[in-house]
Amino acid sequence: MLLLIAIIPIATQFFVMYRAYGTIGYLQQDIQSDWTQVHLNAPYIGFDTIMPRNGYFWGPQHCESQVGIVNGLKLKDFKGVACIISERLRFYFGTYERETYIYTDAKSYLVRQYSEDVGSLETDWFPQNLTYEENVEMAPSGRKTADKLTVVSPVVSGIGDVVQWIELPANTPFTFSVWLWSPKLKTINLAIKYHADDTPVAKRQFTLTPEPTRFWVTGTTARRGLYDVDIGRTPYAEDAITFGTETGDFFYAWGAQLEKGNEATAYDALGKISPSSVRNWKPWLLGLNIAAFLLVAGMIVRLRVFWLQTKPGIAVLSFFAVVLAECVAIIPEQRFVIGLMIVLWGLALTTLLSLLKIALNKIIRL
Amino acid sequence: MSVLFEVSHQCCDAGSYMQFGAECAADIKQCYGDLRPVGDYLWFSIPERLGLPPESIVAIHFLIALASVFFCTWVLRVFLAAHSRVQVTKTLSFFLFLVCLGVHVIFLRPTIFNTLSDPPSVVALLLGIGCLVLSSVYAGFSVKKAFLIALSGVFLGVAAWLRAFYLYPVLACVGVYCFLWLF
Repeated sequence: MLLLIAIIPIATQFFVMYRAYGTIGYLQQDIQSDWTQVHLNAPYIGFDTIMPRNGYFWGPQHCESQVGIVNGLKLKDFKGVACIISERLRFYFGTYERETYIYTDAKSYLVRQYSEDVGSLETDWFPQNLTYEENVEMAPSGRKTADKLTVVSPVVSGIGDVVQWIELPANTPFTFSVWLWSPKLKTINLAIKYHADDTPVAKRQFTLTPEPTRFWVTGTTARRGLYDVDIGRTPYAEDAITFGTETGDFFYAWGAQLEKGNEATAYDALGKISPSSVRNWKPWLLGLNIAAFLLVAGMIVRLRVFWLQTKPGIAVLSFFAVVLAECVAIIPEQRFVIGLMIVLWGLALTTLLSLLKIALNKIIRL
Repeated sequence: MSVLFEVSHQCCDAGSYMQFGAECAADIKQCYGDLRPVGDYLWFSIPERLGLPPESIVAIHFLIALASVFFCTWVLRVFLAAHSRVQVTKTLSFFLFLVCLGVHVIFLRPTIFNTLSDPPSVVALLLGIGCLVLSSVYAGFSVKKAFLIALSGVFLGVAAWLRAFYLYPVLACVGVYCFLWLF
């Protein structure tokens, strides 16, 4: 019963959540529900936390599924459910990467596939008090890829901004540039600032005109860490703007770029490389992990003298079983299952060692 | 800024953990949030509370990972000696150490340089399982066995408190153990 001590921190967590939010759960109820929904009712097979604000969700690579596991079962879409489960297992066992997070091989420090979706909540841009319309206006590139951002509720000192969080190195000059325009002459701010305390690296006010104009700010980071690139009403009291003072105020945005150096150079839509180019299927890894599992399974079935028949052994097996179930039911981010993999390989190699010893003894006796 | 942070980019939401920790160190009432368990807030407040620079958390993660490697080696030695009649020589111990070091390096390498909750939660988990394995060596009831089981409970609980992913596995593990204990 002493193992029940494990319940103390868990119970404390439930207690704190209940005190804070008034609901019973391990995490805040809405967040917990959202994630449960994603895990069980979305046709995703993998998730990587590669960006400060948003993760990257992977879809099935070799089959099709329109719904998640629970909805698939309800709709009797067993093919879709099998697709999700097999792809999640394949993703989990066969794509372990040393790094899947930050990529700095490209000119722009903004995330490549989202650099032109300025303001989309689906991407790594975060609009505040602004609504977003995608690709509604001709961009300087001659294509209809400029986005429209409209203020939700105007205030006297101006309101509405759109931010992307970016991890940047220390003591490095950076320039943030973007094309902006608006039918009305309106002032607006651009800023690069330290995320945690809003310490500005660079900030400047500009006047929007009906002509698409490239604005930019430049400054040097003081420390390594998370920074914001910000378009709109920055948090500084002295930086009031005229954008967001009237109902219906809007501006168009296109071509955001964050680059090293003290000036804005030619726009390059290719930002940081996308996650899909760094997550690779590795058949050899898949084979090795399956071999480890088979070895452990063999140990359980054949070598009954092992400790897995003891109470602690059975408890650890239950742990394994639930982690495996979570890997299928929950989007398998490699970071979640490091412990399982270490234990698995420890067990597999120990088993291998014991098997070798047994085989060796038999050979010697012969 | 410390060299430790310069050797690797801080990924994804790594920066936010240190921010939570600093806020938690300044005011204990801030030690919770909607997405992360309380254990994270307390863990990442350690550098601030000890007056150490934030990047020292990476060094702490290295130290506990190293402790886990040695503990893993010891557990495997005891395990082999007790259950498979293998004579544990110095060479074999060294081999076991290399095995433990190897799997730790392979699987902890992606996160050990980042201020994420993965290293401490994984180490807590491994220590918990290790204690559970060791407890199986002692037959019947003994103070040592009881201590190891209690310690295992502490580590497993802490693992789930640092990383929500381990909640159900730890609950299942404890539940099954308690169920078996009844018979």
